[in-house]
Amino acid sequence: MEGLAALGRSIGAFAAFWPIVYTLGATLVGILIGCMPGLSATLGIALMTTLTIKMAPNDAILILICVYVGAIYGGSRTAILLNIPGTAANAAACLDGFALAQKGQAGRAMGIATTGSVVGSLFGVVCLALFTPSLGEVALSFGAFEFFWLGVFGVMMTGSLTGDDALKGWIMGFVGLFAAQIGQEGIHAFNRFTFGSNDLAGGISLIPALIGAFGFAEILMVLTAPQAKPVVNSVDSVLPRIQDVFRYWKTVLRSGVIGVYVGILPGVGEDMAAWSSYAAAKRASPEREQFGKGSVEGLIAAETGDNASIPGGIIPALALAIPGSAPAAVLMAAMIIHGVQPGPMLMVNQPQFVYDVVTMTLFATLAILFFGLFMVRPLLKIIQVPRSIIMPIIFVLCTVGSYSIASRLFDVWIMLAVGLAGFVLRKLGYPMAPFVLGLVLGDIVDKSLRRGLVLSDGSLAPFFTRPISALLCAVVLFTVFMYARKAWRKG
Amino acid sequence: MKSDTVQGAFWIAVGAAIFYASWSMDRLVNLGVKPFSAPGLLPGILGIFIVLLGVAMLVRGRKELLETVEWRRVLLPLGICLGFAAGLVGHGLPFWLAAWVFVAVMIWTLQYRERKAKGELRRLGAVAVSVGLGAGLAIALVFQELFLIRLP
Repeated sequence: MEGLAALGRSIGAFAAFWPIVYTLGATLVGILIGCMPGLSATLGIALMTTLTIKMAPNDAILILICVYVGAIYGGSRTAILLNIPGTAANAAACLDGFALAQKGQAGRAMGIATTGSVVGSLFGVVCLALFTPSLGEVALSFGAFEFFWLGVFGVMMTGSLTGDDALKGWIMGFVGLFAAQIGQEGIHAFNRFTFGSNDLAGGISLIPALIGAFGFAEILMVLTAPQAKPVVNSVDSVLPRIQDVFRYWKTVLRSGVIGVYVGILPGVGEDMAAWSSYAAAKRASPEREQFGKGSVEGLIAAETGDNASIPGGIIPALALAIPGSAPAAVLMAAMIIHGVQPGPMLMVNQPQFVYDVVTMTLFATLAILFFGLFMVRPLLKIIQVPRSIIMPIIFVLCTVGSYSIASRLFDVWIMLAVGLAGFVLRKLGYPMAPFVLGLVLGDIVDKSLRRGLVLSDGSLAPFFTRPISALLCAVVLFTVFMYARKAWRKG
Repeated sequence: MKSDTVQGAFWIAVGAAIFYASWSMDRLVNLGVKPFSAPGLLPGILGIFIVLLGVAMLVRGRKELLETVEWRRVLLPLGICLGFAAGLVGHGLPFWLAAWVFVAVMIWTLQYRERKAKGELRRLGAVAVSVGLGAGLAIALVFQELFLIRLP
């Protein structure tokens, strides 16, 4: 009851003129970002963090959540019309969305994508409201030992599940953890790996590094790829057919559950949620031979899964300060910039904030429904803007975005260095998401390890004998064992 | 770097360098800091794990068919980007002007071949200059005047 009252207060506070204007404006910006191949939700949130830095915390975070939800939804447009996912999360939607478009049903495909996205998001919002307070309560009993393993678990899971090669994923995760150690450490205020540079003593800032990894690197990736032309120039009715939802209600429910579950897993993200939901729907469907050839069920599964994972990814970010995806990591960093401290103490210190986030996600979901129904044709225009015009402007925004957080040119150089390294590493098959999660979790892993050892007077035993620590350690070891077994079998 | 062997050796070198730097880092013994709380503890462990993963990659020795990078296509835009971010920005030039020059030059560079083949170089020049000016002014106005953000 207390939770419902808090949720009611949040909805009352946000149902005002300016929050609604911010919701609509930011969701539209998010959809536009998602529509443009090469621009990710992570980059969109990072750039908007800069733009909203002087705004009131609730307004700024509302804008960022709307950009997040809008971008993941917007990416389905390009997936359906160009066969290119606007964001990585929409790759699964290409399979059936584009096939439907080729059959002259682009409008229907977009209607299905809208329905799936809205239902998935709503399902995720309910889970966000229900599970965040409970998880926060459980996490209050966590100590340094558990947080150390949670951090390691996050990096290992992201490394295993993003990209095609777990070994490369883990390397990127450990490199990210190492990058977070550069600068003044938080226990003895000692400068590590700074080589006498005052700029490096401040550490590698997350937002410039993210803009480099997901902005500059992506611009270089896009410039080396041939440009696709829209295959579909006109669309049929975009109004979702209610019978599609009712007919596949089991798929919608299953995809929602999978989306939230994958979202909660640290760092795994929306793309994995979409693929997992798609694969599960295909396995369970009596029409599985239609998958990949324009299956409504396949498209609805993919879009429900990726959107349900957005609130799923925010749950651990709020309750544990361990983000569920790369965009959630930026969102968490933005919350910290705006004076909110995510983690187990959030429900004690700022319980209303959790329900504010639930309301923000709900508003963003309603906004994508609005734009999905009424703004389809104007949005198609953005796809036709040549990338040779978009990309230089995005690079200018990347430069401004890196500089503006702390007003130091050093952050622009960080963006350039990370972007260039990210471009080369991505060409070599190294995923960037584990690096980002490592960078976010580096501080927590370092402090938890050393605090834990101080508490146990140097004994490693509590890291392996406390129940939750032991469980997380077992999962980490099992992940490594499974990889080794697979590699051994492959010879 | 074309195979696991070269990449594995690279990561072994990186991990070893991190471990060495962590090992030789001040352990703050003079401040009464215990060894298990020393600043180099986690970086050192990370160095060891990066070495181990490098060894695993080396042992695996898989030969990959990697996507080749068309460096000729990347180098010029990359150079212009670096020139803008590291050279033009923050050295006294008004931001809108720097952004204008950068966007115009980039559009010209990226569309030059295609437009030249069509005999549309004048039109390209007009598009590049006008889009550059519009973008430079719009970004400066939105960030500086509307959202009160300091520009480089």
